[in-house]
Parts: sequence; structure tokens; C-alpha cells
Amino acid sequence: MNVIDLRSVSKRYGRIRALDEVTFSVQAGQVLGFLGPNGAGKTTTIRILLGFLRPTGGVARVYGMDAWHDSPKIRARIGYLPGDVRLYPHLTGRQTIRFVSRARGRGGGADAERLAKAFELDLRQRVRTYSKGMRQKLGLILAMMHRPDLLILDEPSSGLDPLMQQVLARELQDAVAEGRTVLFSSHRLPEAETLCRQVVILREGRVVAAESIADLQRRAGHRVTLRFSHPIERMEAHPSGFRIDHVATTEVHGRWHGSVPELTRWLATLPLSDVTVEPVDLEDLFIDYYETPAGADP
Amino acid sequence: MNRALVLKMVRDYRGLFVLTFSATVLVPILVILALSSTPIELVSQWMRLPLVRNFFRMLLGADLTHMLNRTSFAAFAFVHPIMLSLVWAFLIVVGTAVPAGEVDRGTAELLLSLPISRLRVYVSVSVVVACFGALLGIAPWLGAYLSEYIGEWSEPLLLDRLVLVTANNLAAIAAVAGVSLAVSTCSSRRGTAVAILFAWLLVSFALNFLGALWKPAERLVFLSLLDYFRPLIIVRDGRLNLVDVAVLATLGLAGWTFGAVVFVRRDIRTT
Repeated sequence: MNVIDLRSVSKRYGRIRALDEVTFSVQAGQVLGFLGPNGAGKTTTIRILLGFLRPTGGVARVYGMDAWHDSPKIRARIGYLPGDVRLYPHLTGRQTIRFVSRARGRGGGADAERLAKAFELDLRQRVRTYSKGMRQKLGLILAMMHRPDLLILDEPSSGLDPLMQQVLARELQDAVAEGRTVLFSSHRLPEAETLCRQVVILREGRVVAAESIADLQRRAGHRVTLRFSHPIERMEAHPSGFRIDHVATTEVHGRWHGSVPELTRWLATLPLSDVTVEPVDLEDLFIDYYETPAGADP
Repeated sequence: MNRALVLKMVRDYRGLFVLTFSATVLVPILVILALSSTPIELVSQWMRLPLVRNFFRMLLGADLTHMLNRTSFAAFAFVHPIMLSLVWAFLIVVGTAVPAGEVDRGTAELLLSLPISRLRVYVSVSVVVACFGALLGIAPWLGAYLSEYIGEWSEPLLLDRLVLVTANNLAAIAAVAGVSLAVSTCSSRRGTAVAILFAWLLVSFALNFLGALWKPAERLVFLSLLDYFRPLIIVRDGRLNLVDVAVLATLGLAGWTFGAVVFVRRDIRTT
């Protein structure tokens, strides 16, 4: 069963199209990275799932329920971390937890204490004295303390130091091990590589890729650096699988999209002094998605 | 209604409420004591001044000149500008806390991510506004009642008539609260909501004043909120003008209903 199911979801603000026919789904027990640059529509999509925004077109369903009409029922099963965590400044961390727990009508105190310990957060302080990282930690505790079936986290590691990012990754792994589902948005691919196997990449309100990180890596090919003993001005004939990024005196930098035997056969024909072949950094591919015109293949 | 949200709001505004409530009890005491202690001849002299007479007529809805007694002074306390300012300001502050205040501060995402329907959130806020408003509505009567125990007076206050004034006061408070909630639900900026409401009440006040001073403006006075709250007429006649109460209650109910419909249907965006 799909936990999240979006079918051709669009959102317009007057003439501005924030989301354009967004379609993807998340299955139970899955961790899905929802990636894209700032302004791609990630937060808008999340707000539609939570019933903050009403889609202007398409259908958004969570646990088979309509995200707008059945929003309170859906939210009972969700833990949500906003992208920009804003809390009541006059309350202490503990008072905030108590308020949210009581308003939710479900106990979450025990897990809150455990999470506060894991994230090393002092709950006695007033929120107004918290740093951004501390607010982020409290936001994560509020989202996770009632052990929700679905966690929707908008930029979860924002403001967290590397140690706390590891704690977060561990908590999310535990949640998934218990069969819970996680959707998190990010504009940083390394975060996605750490936390999930499946990604949806959004750009200018459109889904430009929805696949596994392994498939992304496969499609990304290899970065190839050819070094010649003499300066070359341009590369003449080369296989169609090789795309030249740039030529620098004795070096040619490019990307290989093809089989490895085909690559080695071609390299053997070149008067090379050295060659480097390495997997493409996913960050580069991610940037490709951002830079290529929407709809075109990166 | 969500109990946790109600308790949080009460906690958030209890300090401000205690101050406002104390002031709205104290101001009538001071007004009644001050006017009752002043020789009636002197008050009569003041009332002969056109500006003073019009000012009182504007606030009280009738000429005070021929009704110089302690109950009339108490009625004046209900609509004293300080009282109106205090009560209206408090209602606007609390009435715009949700959703305008929450959206403006960004905490709406936390509040609305909880499994509480927007209608329940709205009802919870309304309950808090209604309870605070009701207490502020009866505060002037309480002040008048307490003033009876301060000093020796030959003429007692007609407290039963002031109960009727209190009923009209509650209707006026309901109107301000209802419109505050309506404006709050339409706005994502609390400052904007507060400015709109203050402007409305200021125009209402000015219209009433203008109507008392300038004949042509009299035709527009029906648009003023204060035209439906005339405590001196209630004290004089000993009965409530049900039309006035109905107009104010309808305005409050319409504002509240409009706010509920808008809040349930609107998009919530904090950034």
C-alpha cells in the first residue's frame, strides 16, 4: 500500500505555478529523499500533504485519505518537522513538549526524554535562548516523540553538527526498521545518500527524476580524465558515449555513459600518458538536474 | 475544543488579562467616586459647555444634563474612553493571536501539524476570547458595585439598571471579538490585522463624535459601533434596547461565522 500518493498535483498562486503535475508515491517502510533546489516546490508539496495548502489540481492522498479533507485524521499518524522550525519563544523545551503532547492527545513524554538525551538538548531552557541547532533538535523531538507511522521532515539536518546528523540518521534507521515511513526534503544530496535509497528530484515545480540512488549512479556514468604527453587543442573523433566537459592543455575531462569494456577498448586506441576513471559524484549529477532545462535529460 | 490549546492561550494572556481586568474594575470606581464627590452644581456648570455636553452625549447616547446622578456616572464609566481603549485593545490582541499571530510568527506550522481540525482550533480560540471578553464585560459593573462600599452616599446606585448596561456591553464586546476573529483569519500578518481593527474602531468612534457635532454626519452614525451602545438611555428607561443588542450580537456572530468559514478553507503559508 502506498503511504503517500500524489497524482498530477498542481498548485498555483495566481499566475505563478508552484507545482506542476507532480506525481510520485511512497510505500510503507520506505525512506524517500525529496530533493531539489530552494524554490523547487518541496515545501509546497509537503504543505499539501499536511493539509496546509489545497492543491489547485490533482489528488494528494496519505494512507488512502484525501490530504485536504481528511487532514486531521492523517496528521494523527504524522510527525512533521518544518523547514524553518518556529516555536513559542516564552515556553521552555519541556513546556513545548508537554503542550504538543497534550494537544495531540497521545502520550509522547517517555520518548521525548529519550530523544532529548540522544540529541543532547537541555529542555529546561526557554526556547528564546535556543540556538538554531537547538531549535532544530526540539523540532525533531516534537516530530518523533509520539512514534508516528509517517515522518515528514523538511530539511532535517539543517543546523545540526555532524555528530547530531549521525544521531538523526540512527533514529531514522530505527524508525524504518520498525516499519515506519520517512519522507524528507533536502537540497543536499550527501544527506540523501546517507539516509535513503529512493529519491524524487523536483525542479521548478516538476518531478525531473524519481528513482533509486543506485539507478542515479548507474545513469550518471563515470568521470574520465585523459592525460596526453603533448598539448591538444581539441578532441577529434570520440565515441558517442563520451561527453567532453572541458579540454585543458594536455588534459581532457569528460563523462563516459556506456559500458566499461567499450571504454577500455577506446582508451587503448589513444596515445595517453595517464588516465583516471572514477564514478561520478552524485552531487555533480544533482547539479546537472538543477542546471539542465526542466524536462531535458541531464 | 482542544483543552491544551485553550490552557496555553489562557496561560499566554493571563498576565495581560489580569492587568486589563483590574483596570476595568478600577476605572469605574474612580469615575464614580470622582463625579459623585464633585458638587452637582459644578458638574451642571460643565455640562453647559457645548463641547463637554456633546462629548458626554456622544459617549452615552443621551444628554446627561438632566440626569446627574450616581447611576448615570456609573453608566458613563462603561463607555469612558480609557475603558473602551483597554477592552478593545485586549480583544484585538487576543482575537488576532490565531491564526494571524501564529502565521506571522511561523508557529502555525507546529500548531496545524497537530491532529486538531482547524474548526477545533478556531473554536478553542473563540472560547478563550469569549471567556476573557465576558469577564471584561462584567468588570465595570463589579467596579460600580465595589464603589458602593467606598464612602457614604445618600443616593444608592441602581445596580439592576447597570446589569442591563452590562448586557449591552457584552453584546458590544461580542461584536468587537467576532470582527477581530474574522479579520485575523483573513490575514497572515498580525500587524495588518491589528491595524485594520484599530482603524475600524477609531472610525467608529470618530463617526459617533462627528455625528454629535455636525448635523450632516448624523446620517452616518448608524455605521458606528457606539451607536448601538447607549448606556444612559438604558439607565434612564430602565430597559434594554433589544434592537441595539441584536445588531451588535448579529455583527459578532456574522464575524465569527465568516472567520470560521475562511479559516477552514484558506491556505496556510508561513513563509
